[in-house]
Order: sequence, then C-alpha cells, then structure tokens
Amino acid sequence: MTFLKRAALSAMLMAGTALATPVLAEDLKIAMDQIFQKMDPHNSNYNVDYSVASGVLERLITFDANMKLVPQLATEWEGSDDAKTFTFKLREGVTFHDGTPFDAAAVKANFDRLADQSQNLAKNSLFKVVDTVETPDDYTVVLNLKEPFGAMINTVAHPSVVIHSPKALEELDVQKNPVGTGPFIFKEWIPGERVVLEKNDDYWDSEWPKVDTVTFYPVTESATRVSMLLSDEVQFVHVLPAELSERVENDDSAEVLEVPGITVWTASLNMLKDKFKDQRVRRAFNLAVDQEAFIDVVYSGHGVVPDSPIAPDTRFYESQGAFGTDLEEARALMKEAGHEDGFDVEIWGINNSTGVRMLQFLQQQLSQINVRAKIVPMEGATRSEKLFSSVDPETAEFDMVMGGWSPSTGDADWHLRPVYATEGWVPKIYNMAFYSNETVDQAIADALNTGDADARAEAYATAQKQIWEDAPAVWLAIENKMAGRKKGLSGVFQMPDGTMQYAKAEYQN
Amino acid sequence: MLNYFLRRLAAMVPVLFLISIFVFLFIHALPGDPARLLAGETATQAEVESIRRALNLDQPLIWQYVDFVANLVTLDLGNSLRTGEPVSQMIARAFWPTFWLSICALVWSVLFGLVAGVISAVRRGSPGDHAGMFLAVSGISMPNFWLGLLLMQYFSVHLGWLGTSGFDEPSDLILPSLTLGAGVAAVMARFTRSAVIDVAREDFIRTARAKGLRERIVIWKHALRNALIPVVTMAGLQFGFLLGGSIVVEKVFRWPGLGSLLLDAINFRDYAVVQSEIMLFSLQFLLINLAVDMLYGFINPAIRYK
Amino acid sequence: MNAEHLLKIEDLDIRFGKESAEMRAVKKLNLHVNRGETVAIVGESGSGKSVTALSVMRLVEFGGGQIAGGKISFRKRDDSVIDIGSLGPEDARLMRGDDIAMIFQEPMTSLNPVFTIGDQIVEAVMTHQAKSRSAARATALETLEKVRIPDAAQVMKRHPHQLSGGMRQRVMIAMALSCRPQLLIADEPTTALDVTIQAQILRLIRELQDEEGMAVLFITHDMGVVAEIADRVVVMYRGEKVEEGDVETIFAAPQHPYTKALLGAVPCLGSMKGTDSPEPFVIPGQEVAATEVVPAEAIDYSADPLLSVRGLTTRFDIGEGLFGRVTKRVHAVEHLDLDIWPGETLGLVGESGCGKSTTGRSILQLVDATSDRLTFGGEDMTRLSASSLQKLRRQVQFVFQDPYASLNPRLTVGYSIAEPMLLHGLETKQNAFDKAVWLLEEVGLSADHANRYPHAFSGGQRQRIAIARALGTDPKLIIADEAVSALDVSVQAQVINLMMDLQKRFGLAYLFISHDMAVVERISHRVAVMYLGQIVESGPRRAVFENAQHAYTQRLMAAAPVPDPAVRRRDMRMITGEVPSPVRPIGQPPVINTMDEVAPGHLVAREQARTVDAA
Repeated sequence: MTFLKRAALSAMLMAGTALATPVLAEDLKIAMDQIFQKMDPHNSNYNVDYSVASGVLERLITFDANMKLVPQLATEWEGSDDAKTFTFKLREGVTFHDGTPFDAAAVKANFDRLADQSQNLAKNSLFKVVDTVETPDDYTVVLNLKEPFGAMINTVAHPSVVIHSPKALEELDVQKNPVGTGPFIFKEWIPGERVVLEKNDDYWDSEWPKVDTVTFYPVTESATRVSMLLSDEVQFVHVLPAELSERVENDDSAEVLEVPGITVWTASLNMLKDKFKDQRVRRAFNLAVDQEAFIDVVYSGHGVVPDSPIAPDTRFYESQGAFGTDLEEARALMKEAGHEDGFDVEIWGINNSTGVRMLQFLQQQLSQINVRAKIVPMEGATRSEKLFSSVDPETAEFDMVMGGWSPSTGDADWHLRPVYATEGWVPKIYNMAFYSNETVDQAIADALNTGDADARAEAYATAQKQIWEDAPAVWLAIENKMAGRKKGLSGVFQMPDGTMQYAKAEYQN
Repeated sequence: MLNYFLRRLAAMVPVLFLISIFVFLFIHALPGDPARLLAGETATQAEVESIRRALNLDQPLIWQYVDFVANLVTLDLGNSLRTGEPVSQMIARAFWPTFWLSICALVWSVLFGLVAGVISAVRRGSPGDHAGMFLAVSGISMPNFWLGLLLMQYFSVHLGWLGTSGFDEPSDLILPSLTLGAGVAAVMARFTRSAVIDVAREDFIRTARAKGLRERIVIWKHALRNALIPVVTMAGLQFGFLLGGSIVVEKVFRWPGLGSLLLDAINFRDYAVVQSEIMLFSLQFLLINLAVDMLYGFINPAIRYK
Repeated sequence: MNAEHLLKIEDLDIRFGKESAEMRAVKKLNLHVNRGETVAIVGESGSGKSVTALSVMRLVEFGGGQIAGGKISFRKRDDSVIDIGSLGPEDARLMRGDDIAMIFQEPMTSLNPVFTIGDQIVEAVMTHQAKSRSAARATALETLEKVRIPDAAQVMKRHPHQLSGGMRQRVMIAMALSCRPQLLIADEPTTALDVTIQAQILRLIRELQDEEGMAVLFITHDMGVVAEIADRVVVMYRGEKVEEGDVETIFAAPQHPYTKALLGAVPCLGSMKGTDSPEPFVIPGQEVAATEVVPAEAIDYSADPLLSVRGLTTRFDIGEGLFGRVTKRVHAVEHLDLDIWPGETLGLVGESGCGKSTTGRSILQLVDATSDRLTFGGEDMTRLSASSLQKLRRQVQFVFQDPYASLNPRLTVGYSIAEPMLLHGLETKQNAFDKAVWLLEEVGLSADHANRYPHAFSGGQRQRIAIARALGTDPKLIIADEAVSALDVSVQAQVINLMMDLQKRFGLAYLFISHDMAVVERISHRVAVMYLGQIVESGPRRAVFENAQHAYTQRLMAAAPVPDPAVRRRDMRMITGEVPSPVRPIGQPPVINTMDEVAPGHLVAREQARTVDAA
C-alpha cells in the first residue's frame, strides 16, 4: 500500500539509519481489463492471456507496434511459391527458463502439439492445415502443409503460437506453469488476483529486461483501473475506456496512449432476408449512417471511419474510399428499391453500455430513411448461444446484428475469410450477413494458394473491392485502442490487435 | 437444546438436496453455451466442438447431474470448466476474503446501526431523528458502485492514505467494508429504531422507570436487549447476503472473493463453479439461520426450543 | 398540608397531545391519602384514574401527557414536603421507587422477560440504596420472602416466564417494597388474575400495609375489590371526581348517579339466589328495556342435546431430552363429557390453565383433540370428515376475549362481518354486506358503522362487532371464550344483556367460558366447573351455586370478591402455593373423576383423587 510504503520510507529516513540510498527494485505493475484464463496461449482465445504470456513465452515471429512482422525466435523465414512449405531459421544460443536448450526439436514439439487436432486445444484450428513438421538441422524448422495456405507466416506470428519448453510440456501443466524463453520468468499466479513475473537474468538479448518484476492484476472495473494508475499502484492500464481517458489526461503524472485498432465494427445485414437482397438497400443503409457521429457518440471520438472491410493496419489493406454520409442519395436508393416508406428491422446487439449506445444510435440514424428498427440488446452468453451455437442460416431471426472482428494474425485472410467468405457463415465462424460471392470466395482462395506477397495483395484487393461494392454490412467504426501509462515508463504499450507488450519496459530516470 | 440443534442440522440435508436439483436445472436452463463462451466470439465452430468434447459437455444432462451430486457428497466439487482448477480450491481461496470483508462490514454497520437506531428512537420526531433517518435512507438507496468509487477517489487517489483495491493487508478492508456496510448500517438503524420504539411501549419499560432507573439504563439495558430479536434476525439475514459476496463491491475493489468468482463463473457459464457456490450460499444461509435461532435463546430465555 | 396527609393532590389538570388536539385526561382533581390509609380510585376506562396514578409517579410524561395545572404535594420520610409536579427529571427519578412505588395491572408483561427476577429486584435496590451487590441480593431475598414466595432463593434465579401470573405479581410487589416506600400505588393489580389468586394478593397487600405502615393508593374498576380493601373511595368519571367518601358510605348510600350505575352493573355473586333462569342486568336509565324482556322459555331437557361430547381429550406433548423423546405431557382436557341443549347457556368456569379455553377449541378441532363420541344437531360427527368439520365450524362460532385481535385492522367492520359468510359460500357478496349491516343494527350499532375500521370503536363496540360477525353464518351455538372479561363493568352488563337478548331471538345456545363466577351466575342455565382438565361439578346453575358440593367449587365461590364492605373476609385462608399443574410424566395419566349425581342433573366428582387439596 502506497501510504504505508511511504510512511515506512520516511520513518526510515527520519530515524537517520545509516542506509545508503537503497537500491529499490524496479517493479512494473499492470492492470488488465479481464481475468486471466490460462497461461497457455495454445489453449486460449483471450487477448489478456496472450498479453500476459508475451513476456514469458516467445514466438518465432512477432509484430512491432504497427503490426509489421519482426523476428523473435526465428531470424529469417520464407514460404514456397505454392504456399505449401514454410521454412524458419532459428535463433541460436537461446535457452528456456528451465535450462532446456531452444532448438528445432523444441519448436517441433510445440508445432506438433498445435497440429494435433486430438488435443482439443482452443487454437488447434490454426494449424489444421499443417501436415508435417521437419527439422533438417538443429536450427531449421520446415512446415509442410496439406494444402496451400498463403497466410501461414502471419499464422505463425499469431500471439497464440508461442514456444513452450518441451520439457515443461511433458512434465508440467503449462496452463498454470508456463516455461518459455522470454525476458521474464513466471513466478506465481493467484487466480482472480495477480500474476507475478520475475526478471530473466539469462535472457538471450543481454540488453533486456530492465525491470525486476512484472505483476499483472485483473481489474474488470474500469474506474478502479484508472484509480490504481492515478494512485501509482500500477504504472500501466490496459484498455482505457474513452469516457475515462479525460481523468488520465488531467493527471500530470500519467498519459493516454492511443493507436488505431484493427477491430472493425459492423452491423451485418442478413442477406438471406428479402429486404437486404437488393444492393441498393444495403448501400442506402451505409449512406444513411453518419460514421463520424457514431464514433463521437460511442467512442467519444476515439476511432476512425472504415474505408475498407479491413482496417488500415491489417496486412494487405487497400482503401476503397469511405461511403460518407448522403441522406439524399440514401433516400433515393431506397425509393428506387421500392422502399420509400422504409420497413421494419430487428437489430441484435450487446447489452453493455457501449453496445446499447451503438444500437440506439443506429436506430435513430435509420429512422431518417424511414426504417423502423427494433433493438435487442443481449447478455453476452445468450447472444453467443443464439448467434454462434444454434443459429440456422435459413431461420435466423435477426435482420441486422452488431459485431466487431479483429484479425489476430494481422493478416487480411483472417478478417476476410471468417467474416465475408461463404465458409464463414455463422455458426461456423463470423459471417453474420450470410454473404456469399464467388469473386470474393475465389480471391480469398487464390490468396491462400500462393506464398508470393504481391500476388496475395492483388487477390485481397479484388476481394476488398467486391465486398465494398456489395456492402453486406454497414461499416461503422474502427475503434482506437487506448491505454493509460505513467509518464517516464516506456516499452509498455497496447497493440492494434488489442493485446499489449511489456518485454521492453524501462523507466527513464 | 443440543437435541434441537442436531435435528435442525439433519433437516438441512433434504433442503440442500432440493436446492441442488433446483440449482442444476436453473443453471442449465439459462441460455448460453459454455463451450462457445470459453472458445470466445472469434472462435470457429470446430474450436468450439473440440472444447465441448474436452469438458464432457456432450454427456446427457442426467449424468451431469449425477456427477454433480456425487461430487457434492464426496465434497470434491469437480473442476472448473474455465480454468480446469478444482472448484473446492477456488472456493476455498475466495471464501476468506469475502468472509473477512463481510465480518468487518457487519460489525461496523451493526454497531453503528444499533447506536444510531437507539438514539433516533429515543429522540423520535426530533430534527436529529429526521436527519439520521434521512441518512439511513440515503445509505440504502446510494449505489454501492458509486459510493465505492467516491471513497476510493478521495482516500486513495486524492489523499493517498489507503490502497485503492485488492486484498494484501488488513487496512485494505477499510474502504470495501465501509462501502459494503453502508446499506446494512442503514437497514440496521431503521430496524433498531422501530424495534426500540416498539419495545419502549412495553409494560416492563414503565416498570423500569417506576423503579427509578436512569433513563440510560432503561433504554440501553431494558429496551435494547428486548429489541435485539428482530435486530439479530435482520443482522443474520444481512450476514447471509454479505457472505454470498457482493458482486458490485468486489468488482470495484478488485476483491478476490466469492462475488467476483460467481460473476466470472456466470459469465462463462462455468456450471461447476456456479453450482458449487450456490450450494455454499444455501448452506451458509441455513447455518446462519440456525445460529440466529440459537441466539434468540440467549437473548431472551423465554424462547424455548422444540 | 395537614400533618396526617401523606399525599395531597390539589386542582390537578393533566393533558395529552399538542395544543391543537389537546385532550384533558384529568380535570381539577382533589384528593388526599393519609399515612397508612388505603384509598381506592374507582372508575372505568378513560376515567383518568390510571393517569392520575402515573402523574403522581411523574411517569405520565413518558406517555405524552403533562401536568398542566394544580399541585401534588408529598411528605417525605424526613417530614419535608415536596411538590412532585415541579421536581426536575432527576429528582423525580430519585423519588420513583424510593418514596413512592407502583405495581401494575399486567404481571405477565410488567417484568422484563430477559432478566432474572433477582437481577430486577437487585437493580431497584441498588438504584436507591448505597448497597453492595451482595447486600442488595440479601435485601431482594428478604423482600421476596416477605411477599410469601416459597423457595425465594430459587425464584431469584428464574426468569419471569417460569413463574405464574400470581407469582409474578408477588415479585412486582416485592420489587415495589424493596426500598420501603411510604406510598404504594397499585394500578389494577389483580384484574388479570384468577379469583383465588386475586384474593391472596389483596390479602397480601393488606398484611404488608399493616407491617410496613405504608399507605396504598389503589386504582381499580372492580367494586368487589374496592369493598374488600379500601378505607376511602374516590369515584372518577371522565377525568373528574364525582364522589368521595368512606367505603361503607359509598356502598350504602351512593349519591352520584354514576356511582349508582357503577354499583348496579356489578355482577354480584349470590344475587341470583332463588331463581332458575338467567336474567339481564338492570341498568340504570335502561330499566324500560329490561322490563320488556319476555321471560325465557324453559329449555326442553327431554329433547336431544344440540351438542353432545363424550370423552373429549386434548393432550400436548412436551419433548425433552435427546432426539425429542416425549417425556411429559400436558393433559389440557381429559375425558370431558359435555351436553348443550338448544337455546341454553352452559357456563364453563375455572381458573387459568384449567383447560376451559382448550375445551372450546377442541370441540371445533382447532387443536388436535380426540373424543369417544361427538354429535351435533343429532348428527354423529365423531370422525370428522373435512366437509362435516366445515359444517360444524359454520354452525358453531367463536367470540374471543380480545375482539381487536380477531378483527383485521385493515378491513372495514362491514367486510369483517361479511367475511365468514363469503368464506363459507353462504351469501353473494351483495347479500353478505346487506346482512352485515342488518347484523350491526341487531347488535345495537348503526348501519354507517359498516364502513369504518376497528380502531374507530371502543372495546364494547368491538365486542358487539365480533358477535355480529359470529352471527353471520346463522350458527346454532356460540362459544364465548372470556368474551366480556376485558370490558368495563357497565359495558360488560350491556354486552351480556345483548347476548341474552340475541339468545332469545335467534334461539342460540352458548358455551360461556369465564373465570368470573358472578357473571356466570347471571347468564347461565347450567354450569360446569373445571379443574385440571376435568369437570369437578356440573348441573343446573341454581343447584351448583346454592348448593356447591365440591371443595373446589366452594373455594372458587369463597374467593370471589363481594361488593359489600360489610362482608370482608379478613380471615380467609392464605394460600401461597401454585395451582397444581396439568403437566404429567408419560405413563402417569391423571385419575379420571367418577361423578355422582347428588340431585337431578347435579353431578359432583368424588374427591378420592385428592388433586384439589394438593394445593
């Protein structure tokens, strides 16, 4: 507790004890917005788990602050032209926290685990395409795929594709005791309370780490996270809701970090319903909604207007030009489509305050083109059951549904395929518009069939153009990722994909 | 009396059994699929199915219930669907923070409520009484969430005297227990007030005055002791609720207690944890109820146990 | 102030409430009490007699009243005279319990249930006397012995609920006497007690008064008690003193009409001597009504009884010991035989705990009871099916002592009366309300009372409402359980007259349960005396009252106070024991009485069981 610590310190000073300037351990404390589920990213779908693990368990390839691929445990990599073979050169001189050397065998153990679908791990599906893992020498790993998959490099960079110590995989429950190669060593996890990490003195990059301990607290109440930051109980707050950012800004000792995200918020239009089969209606909906105003209302202005189905920081993004707001045009399109007097729609959404604000705003905007919207906010679990477990495309009740998708691989494939390809129809993945277009499906498939970046870029450009044209959803906003940080702290920041990094944390004194 | 106590304990078994059926059915009737929730919104259907198999959620309900009851009987509450941790361990860990928080909140609020209630009763109709009862109504109606943040802002952020949240040392109990107890204190004050006012009309109070006893003794000894029965009943009830863990206060103060555990468990439809916690709450309530009944006999020897 | 005067009240005014809604409870009252004298203040509820007593104690302000005028002078032990009205709160407190002590009507509720007897007396002693706790305990023990409490040391350790009403009143007296006050104010101290206990308590107060030289201000509504104890009488009516005088003068030659009315309404044991049938009270001012009463038709005892019960038995188990094994049993009603003929009143008398109320409840199966045979209206109802029980409960209605408790305060009186009719599905809603209004008029209230709530009525009016409610289902039998015991004498007389009137007009039979011998004598055709769950004597009222055979009946008659100061029974046997208990260990059932017929219809229990004299 801050007060006692200070009091103890001042008591010590007043007593004039002959202590030299005490060497204070440099501790980093971080408040996260969710409780931690598992320390094993292979078996988690949660950003909070990926974030905490990122300092302990490293990947072959990682992202920099702008979602560009950078080497971590691999030094270089390449894919074959047919996108079926991917080769990784590994960093030498790395050891796991338990002393096991890091080599191709270790990577193979992890990749095999991910590829083994019988493990029932949450992320097994990422490696479903992997056929075999080869280790031609101690520091080379080769992935042979069953079929071409152009997005494999980004998949390997996915925050869940970490490398555990093979010994730990065999001997420990890695869900609770992660052993990796990272700058920090896992020390303890008190579920619901905290995770404590300690400095790894033998880290392969001798320049790092620069703090002695890192402690993560799950703090689900946003206002509490902010209070902890302002009272210096934590130095970093991951996920700062827009409405609380002012409190942080107004404090001299703290700052607000803001980066554009890669989560695109949409209102999917159920294209199996007659009213949305007409492209003019779908375009009219996009034109009727004022996205700038949406961002102001929902995110207090902290967001950007989408101009493509995917966000600018997603790999292979290509701008299609924002729809803009044009009520005249929207009304004209509705009239052309025979819906001058509008119609009724049912919009499903989320029942938290942000979700309800979204729904209400949309309802108001659509009324301008005479569309009468019934909004249905749903509790998280109920929503996920109705939308992702038991839904049947033919009988789905909703006309429109709110949703946000973030491609955790940072690659266009993991946004376009789940949300806009025919294979992604809910409940399978996330295509809630039941959108199906041959050109798009073909382009997505083409892009996966090659390892050549230019060819992939071209294919994704085609897909983005077609999707934008067809407007299977109302594109609403790309939400900025915000965080709060104590001034003087660097190397801790949030990523566009919603995770955070802290491996290079450092205090400037 | 021991006999009465043992019989009451035995009577709890069928009650708990009925509760177990009710709880099981209720939880499984809730919409929401734990496998899907664990997988996360962006998971593919294949991912969801693999989780479902891993958790045995594809078994028929009746077998899941039999498992649940078998677990209860052996006091092994199974494993969390979400983390795989033994539920008994999770509950054991969350129990004490909630317990101490409840005790602190209860102790201060009951003491405060008693004193405020008695003073209000004695000065019935005075401005002090009205002010006190206004405070009490405010205490009941003020949202815990708001009060908690207010206290945190002032004492932790502004003055820096206390930690904002978490439970690392005893002083961390202060703010959450103040927040949690505010409503209870208000309820206790109102209850005590009306109980004392009722007792003050009793003949034996007139007798006490006719003996020439000091007013202080008349009220604090003769009236209060008799007013304790409804007050203790209410305190017991409140304690039962407190021990369930306050979801709001625990969330605001990052309290690693039963309320937080339940909230997470419900959000993820973590059946094993929700079921076990609700069984625990039921048991706590029954035990507190029994304790209160036994306490009656100490407060008022005229109460007999049958 | 005369040197003989201990207490002198001059022009006392007592008011309640704020100026806007002020109530003058006592107006210009003058009275005095001499040393060693017993003065009785007599009056009915609302006469201001209790308020006067409370103002002398300076307790009236705790109930919202205030001494608005006049002077209360009191001579202390050191012969100094204080003005009680002008004492500060602290001085008033120090006076209370020390110079003046008070005992109250309800011994059951006047002691704090959560503290032991000893503690409560010790507390009084230590408040006024600089004594150590052990010295105070010694004083307490001494005082308990003084009020003839057997085994006082044990009683010290008990809680009030472990004592009977009579014992508690003794404890109250002991507490009052613990500081040897100059003046004892006794506010209806015996009203809630059985007659035999009442006689003991009155006797005790008199003896203690002689021993301590203490004066007593005795507040009562009971002229019988007044005749028994008072030297002088002050009659109060609506806050004013209407008459004052020596007890003999007041009884022999009452001057004020109210005093006369009060004396006229007093049921006096033996006043029915020489008559066979019940007779209404003669109420001054209502003589005309009384003379109009048609003589009752003789009851045809050759016909079948309306209700006939044989072997009615009700026992309550008391579980004790591990696993709730039943070790003791209350034999509340034991092998009771009862017959009631149409149109007659059977008086069931006995003291508290004798089982008379349980008998009433047992007939209607309101408690678990068994009987060898039960017929009603010629129909065998021994094994009561749900429907026949329903029918029985429609034809037999209850009227209880406290009508306020049996009327729902949130329902209008009209609705309360209509409710049983609706409950039994006897009338449509409209008809039920019409009938409720008609019944209200029948019991002497008016139609517009139907829309009011119970709190708007006086005790007597509420009892009329309860009777109207009972009549709704056209019952053949009404069980009146202490139905008039809580009422003032004049009101009591009116209600009894009403009941007798209704009996004639509706052909009702009554099971009249009461502890009051004089009232039972007035209203009953036949009488049954109950003791320890069994009937010890029964027969025509005249036979039982004029020729009581059983010792217990005789004792009951002897204990009833007689409103005639000339027949004070100073020499009455002082009994200190408790009434024997109907609680018996398992396996030791009571001996069932054998009844002998001493005259036609007059049955008396043989006394071989010796249960009575065990007292």
